[in-house]
Amino acid sequence: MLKSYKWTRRTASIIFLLYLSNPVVAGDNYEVNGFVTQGYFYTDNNNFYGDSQNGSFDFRELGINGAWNLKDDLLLSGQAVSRLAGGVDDGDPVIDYLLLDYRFFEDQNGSAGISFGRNKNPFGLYNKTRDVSFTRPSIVLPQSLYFDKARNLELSSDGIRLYGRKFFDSGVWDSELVAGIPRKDKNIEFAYLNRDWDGEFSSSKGYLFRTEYRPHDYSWVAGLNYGNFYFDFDGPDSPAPGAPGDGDVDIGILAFSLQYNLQHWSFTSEYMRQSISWGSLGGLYALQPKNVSESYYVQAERRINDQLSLFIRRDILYIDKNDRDGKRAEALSGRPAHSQYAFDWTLGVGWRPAKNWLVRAEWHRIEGTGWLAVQDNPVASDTEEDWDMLSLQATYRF
Amino acid sequence: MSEVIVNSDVSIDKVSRHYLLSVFSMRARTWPDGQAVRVFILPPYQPPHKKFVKQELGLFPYQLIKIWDRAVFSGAGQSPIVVANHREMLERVKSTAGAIGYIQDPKFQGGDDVKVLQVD
Repeated sequence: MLKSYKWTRRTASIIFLLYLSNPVVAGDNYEVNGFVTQGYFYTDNNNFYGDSQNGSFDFRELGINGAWNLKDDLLLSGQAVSRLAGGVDDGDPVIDYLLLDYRFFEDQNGSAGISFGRNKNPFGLYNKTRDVSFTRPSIVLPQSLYFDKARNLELSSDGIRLYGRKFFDSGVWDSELVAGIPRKDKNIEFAYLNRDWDGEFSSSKGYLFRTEYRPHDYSWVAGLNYGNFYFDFDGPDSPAPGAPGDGDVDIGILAFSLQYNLQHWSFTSEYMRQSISWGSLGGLYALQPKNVSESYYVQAERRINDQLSLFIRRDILYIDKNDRDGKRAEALSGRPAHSQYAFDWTLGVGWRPAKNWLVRAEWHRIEGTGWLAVQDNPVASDTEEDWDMLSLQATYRF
Repeated sequence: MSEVIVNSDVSIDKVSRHYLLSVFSMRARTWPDGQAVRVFILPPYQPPHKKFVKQELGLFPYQLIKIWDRAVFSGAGQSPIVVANHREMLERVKSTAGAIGYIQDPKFQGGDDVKVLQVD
């Protein structure tokens, strides 16, 4: 009896939530929003977000955020996110952003402001809201640019953000600069040093600049990113053969974005060049002190109506643009040549059965393992060059 | 024709189309006189709103929804307040300082309790 009462109450509250208009809580000066996403991944070879070769539900995203207008020119906002993603993310809640934004200038021709705290890194067209499925075009963002295996570096930085916007007769010009301490964790080691060595990244700093221009009707957007990140590595006093000692990893980023929007179509392409310098670490890293990676994708989205959309994408990654077939890396490190590139064809469909719901399905045919996470695939020789992935996802927002 | 309406305490009488877009995309936080902007819209997936966005703001409705979502989920701003119908739109704009909204239905246009903004 008690059980069924509880169940009814829960059902009632879920139904009540479904009928609420967005946002879920709002007053004159504040509002609260959130989302819940559950994914499913199945791969024929290799693992993506958990043990996907046996079908994995190890993908869940939960977020809740709030924004308060403290004064007319002062906004306080924050978001907590819990993300479970196979061996890459454990689902512990983290502060995704928490910032105080002071808009010190605003008139009919533009605006400018500064914000302090943990700011989202303004990378590419999708990075700032990459964990919010309603704002991304697919379940999995193009991994060549938005690689999940080192996401924390890309996500947000503790420091300041300066931004400005100017209106012209023909369009709008937006620019922002985020500078501070990027978030770092073990995943950064996996991504940039390929494994979890003795020692750790003790400190980090960096900046990322983005500028964007678009006409007033948003028919197209052109963007440019430029930035640098530095990580200090504290190694052991006498590193094992091949292992890194004290040193630093410098990462330089250059990226371009272009998007063309029609009523029923959007065409998007982004390109990134990432330079990594790790020679000062010694060990294996002295063999190839520098590396330049190259990645890009081209994507077409078709909106059939407000509920249904389709997309197709080609996504390309070369971890070393001077070793595109990976043969040199294979000879140097013994890792398979296919770990140095990835070519991904993706087809996907999105469906909004109700205002607050989004369901997606997509299929990937992939050649290469360049963006595969070591954490989910610890034995390199067990990975396969050719693999297929099917993924499903449901999101509810409130 | 749409009518862009504001609370009678809003001190401007006309706006440029791109400033109007900036306001409805939730990027302008204050009016030129420093007062906070409060944006009201009709339900975003229904024809009156979609027509307003296409005709007066000059972009596709899906683009505006994307702009709001990206601002809300990156901490850059808030979302507009959705009202159920034209009657509520008039009442809320009339009673909220700094409010802006729009009227599509001619039956509700020309009200004396709100100010009609000229758009050029």
